Amino acid sequence: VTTAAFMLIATALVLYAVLAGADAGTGLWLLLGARGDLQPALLSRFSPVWEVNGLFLIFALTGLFASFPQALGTLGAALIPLYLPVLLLIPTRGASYTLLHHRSKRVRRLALVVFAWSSLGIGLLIGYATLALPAGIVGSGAKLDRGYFSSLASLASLPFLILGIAYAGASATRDRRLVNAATWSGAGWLLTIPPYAYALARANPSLRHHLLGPDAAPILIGFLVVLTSLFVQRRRHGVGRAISAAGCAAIGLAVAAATLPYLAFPAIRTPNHAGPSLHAYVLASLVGGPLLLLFLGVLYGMVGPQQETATR
Amino acid sequence: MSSFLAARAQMGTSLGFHIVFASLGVGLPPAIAIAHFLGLRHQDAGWLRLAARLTRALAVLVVIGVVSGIVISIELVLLWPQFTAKAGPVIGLPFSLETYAFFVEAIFLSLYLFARERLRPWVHWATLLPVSLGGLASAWIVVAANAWMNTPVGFTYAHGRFLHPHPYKAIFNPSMPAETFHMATSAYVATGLSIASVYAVAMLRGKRTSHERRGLALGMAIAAASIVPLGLAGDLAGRTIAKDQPVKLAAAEGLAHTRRHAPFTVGGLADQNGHTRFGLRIPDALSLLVGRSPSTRVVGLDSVPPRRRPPVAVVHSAFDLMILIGGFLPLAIGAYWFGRWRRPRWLTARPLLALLAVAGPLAFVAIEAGWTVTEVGRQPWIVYGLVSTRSALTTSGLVGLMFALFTALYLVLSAAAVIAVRSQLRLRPRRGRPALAEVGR
Repeated sequence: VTTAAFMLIATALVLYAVLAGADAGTGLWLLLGARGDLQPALLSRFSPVWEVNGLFLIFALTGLFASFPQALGTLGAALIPLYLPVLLLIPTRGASYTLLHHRSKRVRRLALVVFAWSSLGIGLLIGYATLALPAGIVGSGAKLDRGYFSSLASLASLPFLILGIAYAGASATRDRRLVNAATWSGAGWLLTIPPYAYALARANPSLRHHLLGPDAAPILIGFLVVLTSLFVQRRRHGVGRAISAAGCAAIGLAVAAATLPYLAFPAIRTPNHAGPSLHAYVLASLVGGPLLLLFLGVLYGMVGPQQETATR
Repeated sequence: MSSFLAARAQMGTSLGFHIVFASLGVGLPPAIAIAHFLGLRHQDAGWLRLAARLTRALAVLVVIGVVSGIVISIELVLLWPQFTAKAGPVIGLPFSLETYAFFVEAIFLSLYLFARERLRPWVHWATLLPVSLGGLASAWIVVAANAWMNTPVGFTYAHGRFLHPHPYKAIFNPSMPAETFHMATSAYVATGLSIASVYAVAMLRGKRTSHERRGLALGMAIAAASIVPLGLAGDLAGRTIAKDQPVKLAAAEGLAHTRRHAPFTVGGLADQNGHTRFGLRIPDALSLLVGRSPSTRVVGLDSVPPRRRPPVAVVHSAFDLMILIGGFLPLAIGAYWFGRWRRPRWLTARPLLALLAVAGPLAFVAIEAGWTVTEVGRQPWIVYGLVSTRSALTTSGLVGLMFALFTALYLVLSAAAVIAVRSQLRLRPRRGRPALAEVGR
């Protein structure tokens, strides 16, 4: 049951990471690549995503609160320096998002730049802070190892961003230029993942045999699936997008599973920190979770084709 | 400013900001549903246009509400790690259940906003029902968790730890019914009056079309339907506090000594011992309100040592403010409906419109004051009688910096929200498209 609760929370975090990565990717595309009709296409495509993805973060936090409260207390004390910039950027992005449809062109332009930078920053920083957990920086006294800031392991957050950029670019529109650009940039950046995985494995010895040994197979397969899907998207847009999202999720879950039995290496062992409400939480989630995923499926099924038609 | 004060101030600022958007998130969906229903039922483009305008405002407000909700959930973990560690086994499950209500609300709102073209008109309208219920359920669960902090039950407490938790007993704690009822009715009244305020201001500026009159009528109808239940909820909340948190009531009323025939004190300046100067005392009224008899014994501040008392002056002033506004709002609502019934000219008279224009903001001031009584009145406890607020604080030295940065950011976010909502409400229907197409086709 402890593992089930851990995987439920990990699923929510992975869904958040994939969508936050896509969000960050949208931010980068808005800053660098999207001009003319691509800007409204990106914004209309990602408005519903942006609205819903924050809920996955809340789902994960409340899941930790219900299932591993002692661990959450320790993490809260340790992770303040890493989450502080995220906390500041979330309202900044919210403020700029509300002004994206303002009547004044000047306000809209300023809001777009702030939205893009803060989207990019949140994606990077969330990945940076979340990957701190398996990198071994939370000590037993809820202290943060300052070495993390200068270590290569902290850069392991980049692959999430890279996946997101490719996913966002390719999903936003059927525009062939953007799909091609996203495909090649995504494929190229995927090659940077192994060095970061190596750095993460160096920082956390317990991850070494997962990330560098035979247990890495699911992660590698996930990467290959994403890579293939990027090319599939050039011909079969919807199918490629679905495979791409599934591949991202598979990679995230495989990484999460590899970190078991630690919630945060080496300070928090998952089984030792299970709270007494854990069974009730798992039961409630098993009833409510599939219903919510069904709702999400309905939502994206209804929203997606309509938006694509509008962007053609 | 000490870290402790900075942390409390930051949490207070965040909650004070969020509560406005959370209240509108509870109240606006039913208001839109009513306007949309009238538009579809009577094939009336005017009501549909009103629903469309309110929907644009709701979309902006929900985004801000989600953002401030995320910030609060992260702040709770970062600023009060000992609270999450200790209370999580008991109250963590309700918080996680709240996520489901939040999911339902957000997903159906997205369907309402983005899937209009794909749904039949009445099915599209029906998506507002889960949005309304989800908002209400979300408020219920969060307020239930807060009520548990006021009257903690559903566990065995030993050696500073909460053992053998019963999360469902914790949700249905003694303060839950009164607090939930009070919050929900307050949200409906405040939302109704806010809608009315927006259109009263427009009418004061000379816009007196049927659109403004409909907006005003819709807001005042919601406020009128909710104001009597709000009064009953306030009475229930007062009697529940008298029973379960007597020190909070003593601070709110500035009651120094435990006594029978306790007066109800309005206004005045209360000191930390509960001695109130310049207040208006209504003899026996507090005993009557609490126990329905003038001889009811009401607990005073002398029942606990000074270090276990909340900041009396703050609680008393906030309570007075809530009561005064609570007395003013029914008058404003009554004046409007009397005008509709007997004096139609009142409805376009500047004094009444000015009264209604201030009623909406005042309703939110009353909500803020009410939550100040609830939260400051519970001090020095974060979990009443068991866990002190100070012991739950983080040991990080970054709290002061966080507070300064957050205060600045919330000012920016507030300004952005106001500008965005104003911009959305001013948008005119697109040329060449009938207003029916905006919402219901």
